[in-house]
Amino acid sequence: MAELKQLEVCLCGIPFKNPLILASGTCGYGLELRDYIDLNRVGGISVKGLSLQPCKGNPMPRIVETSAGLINAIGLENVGVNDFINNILPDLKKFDTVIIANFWGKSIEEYVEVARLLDASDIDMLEMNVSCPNIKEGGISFGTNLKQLENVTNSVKKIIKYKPLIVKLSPNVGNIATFAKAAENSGADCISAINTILAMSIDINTFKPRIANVTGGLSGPAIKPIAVRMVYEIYKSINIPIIGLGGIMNYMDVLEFFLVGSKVVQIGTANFINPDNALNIINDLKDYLNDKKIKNISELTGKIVV
Amino acid sequence: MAKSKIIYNKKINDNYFTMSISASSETLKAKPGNFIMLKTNKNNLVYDPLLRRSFAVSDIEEDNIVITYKVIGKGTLGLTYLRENDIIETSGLLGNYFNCSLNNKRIAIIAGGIGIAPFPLLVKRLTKKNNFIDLYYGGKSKNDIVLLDKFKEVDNIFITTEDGSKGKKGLITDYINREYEIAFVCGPNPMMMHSIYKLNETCEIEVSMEERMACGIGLCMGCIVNLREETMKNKKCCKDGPIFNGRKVVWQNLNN
Repeated sequence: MAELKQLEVCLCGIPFKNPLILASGTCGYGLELRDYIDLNRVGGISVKGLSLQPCKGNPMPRIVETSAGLINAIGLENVGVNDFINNILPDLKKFDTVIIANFWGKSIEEYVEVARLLDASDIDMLEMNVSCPNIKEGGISFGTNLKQLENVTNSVKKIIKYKPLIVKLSPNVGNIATFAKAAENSGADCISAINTILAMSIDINTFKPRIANVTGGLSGPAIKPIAVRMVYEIYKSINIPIIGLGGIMNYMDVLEFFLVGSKVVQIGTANFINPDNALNIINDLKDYLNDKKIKNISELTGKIVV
Repeated sequence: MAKSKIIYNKKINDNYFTMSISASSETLKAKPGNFIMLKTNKNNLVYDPLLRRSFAVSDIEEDNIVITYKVIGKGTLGLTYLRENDIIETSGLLGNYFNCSLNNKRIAIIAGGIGIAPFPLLVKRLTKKNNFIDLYYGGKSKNDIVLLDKFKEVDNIFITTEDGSKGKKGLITDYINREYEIAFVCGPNPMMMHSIYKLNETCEIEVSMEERMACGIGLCMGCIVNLREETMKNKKCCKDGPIFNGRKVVWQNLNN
């Protein structure tokens, strides 16, 4: 086997030129960024969460900035899986980067159908979002009920023939490691963690919530220590690889996520501030590895000293 | 993304500031209505405020871009600390722009408070082309009426304040009673919506919308504007706007 370059990693049999993926919901469908950065230089792109039918999302206002963080309740607005496969994916495939299709459903049947369509398409990996409201089951999130998580993971895994399945976990649970273990036992090939943390912000003049949905998901540097702790807990309890994310702003944050067990990472909110951030981090990581004489970044995965 | 130098950052009154920053030749091609985004603290590693903020291009002076801002929250407060020669991160030009290739038109410019920001540059582009321009400018009080020296060449200026401290007492929309061929409107959403009711039906209306934006380039889907006739498709204020046909905007769906 050819010697891997410093930042090259392999995840579920898929080679990545570097371990930086643009996180779902923060890079549109990738193409929105092509005028701003060279998409060939990022390790991968996880596109906006796709559903069976197009989704209009939540009412406005949808976002609000809080201390070192951003609360959003976009409501999973997306063009629908068919429009993505037919009209967006062909252009996205022209870039030399790993395409990850984030997807969700309102029922297990929808999850299965979207997964089936994506598995047969030109994408490289599937990332199942289990943090959306489960309307059919009465508002319980698939990601916060162990039984539901097992059911949806099992069902989706059965239909997928070609592509690895990442399960993106919700942090809004008591013990995230048990959810990671349940996903692993139900056939997940990889875990991504964490999604946003349920949060609120209130306008003290109008007494109203600052976003129309009342609650939303908090992202950004405010949540990074929580995300690092959760990846640490997950790593100790499962054997499948982990994609770490939550508030990464610079290369030092990336290294923290590696040390607690991440194999690759995703950059989210930082893309909003500067789409160059991911590329800057790649350069900074190379410098760090050179300084420390580390041959490949994978050597750092799980190397925390406790 | 670029680094820009602060040329000046002047206080107009307690709440309003005007700031000039160095700009690339590309940015200097700004058309009226375009906006830029600024990282509002000096150090990119500071995370509070976290996101860039969007500002209309207010004017162009030689090789510099001018923005006019009102201190609302921590982002704009952070801007007030900037001094001559400080370096900040900017992105843009962003968004679309007003229709400014007009000749021999009867034009209304309607501004509410800091909604005046994009209009100095627009007026520069519209005067001397036989256009007839009325400026309607309303605010809560006299401090909200700024930049009047930039509008010396318009035909009429109507000013109102809610407390009567400058101009007539009341809302600016109460004074719109002439007929126009095109109107440009920027201000709070209720004021823009009310302007549309007051303008004659044959008048084209371009509104400049402001919604909270995380990125300014269409990534986050946080700044949605709904348009009539296109009910299945949300428009992004940053990418498809910020200038929209005012008669098509579904005002009820916005944060009022």
